[in-house]
Amino acid sequence: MIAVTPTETTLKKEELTTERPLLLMTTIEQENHEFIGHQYLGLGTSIDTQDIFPLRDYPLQLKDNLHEIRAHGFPLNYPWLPPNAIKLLNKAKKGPLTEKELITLMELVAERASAHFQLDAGKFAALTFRGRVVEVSDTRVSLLKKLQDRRYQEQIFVWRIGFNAFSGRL
Amino acid sequence: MSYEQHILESHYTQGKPFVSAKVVVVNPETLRQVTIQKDFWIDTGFDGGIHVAQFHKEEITMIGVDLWSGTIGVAGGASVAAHRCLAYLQQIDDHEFPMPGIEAELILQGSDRHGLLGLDILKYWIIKFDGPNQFFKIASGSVQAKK
Repeated sequence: MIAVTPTETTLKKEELTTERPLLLMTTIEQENHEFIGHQYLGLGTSIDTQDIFPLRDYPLQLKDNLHEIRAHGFPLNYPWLPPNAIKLLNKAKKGPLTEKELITLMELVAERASAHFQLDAGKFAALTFRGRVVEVSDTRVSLLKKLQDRRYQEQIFVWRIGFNAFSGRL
Repeated sequence: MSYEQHILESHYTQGKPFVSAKVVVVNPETLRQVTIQKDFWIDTGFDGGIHVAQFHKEEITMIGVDLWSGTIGVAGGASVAAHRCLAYLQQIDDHEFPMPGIEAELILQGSDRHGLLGLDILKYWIIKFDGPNQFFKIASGSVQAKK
């Protein structure tokens, strides 16, 4: 008779199939789990499954997340400008910038705004000097037409995303 | 198949294709307008619309039109600051375009006495340059797809 002993592989298989799966959860996941549990799985709570996006095993109901996200310190709709741009903006408050400084400021702001708002290269955009996007258009003329029909409180500049000039020598 | 409608034909001036053109800037709120009439060089190496010297800035701001800051790429690859607004090309030589004219970007920069008509304007026309005879022709037209 040959004694058959289970190999290491079969043992592992048995362990995996018979035991309760071990979920490796990070602290954040555990907190989320507890939070969602409290929110949706409390006693006497009925879950409406309509308009629910399943996120792993838990429902994420977007319509219930009504709490406004508030960022203290800087507004969300402006890109975080680099220190050089902030210096130039502060300088502009005290007096006019040189042409070189103005171009540097426009380049810095346009670069950061393009990345922050994920603007497509080649699009024509109007931006404020704090990096807010006022208008985006496919052509120069359509952008200028849109700008001309409105009045803006902040000073605006126009830029071609991904290029160093709005128009010019080829 | 294509058709062409004649706009103008002319000889070069000082070795370059120049046209006399009328450009108008309008304040959309008050309808006040400024007319810039001067010689423009047909510049196929410029991808913008219409370029004029920056001293026209004062006339334009006088009628209450906002000029937008920005940069323009100049020969040599450098970028320089420039101002812009929307303008209408209404006439070249004796040929008048249907009102309000051809919409274009107007760039104010530098101090050249002549202006430039760039590719953003030239895209509407069929232009034939006869270099050896220093002669050029402009026509409006379109290309129709072959059946």
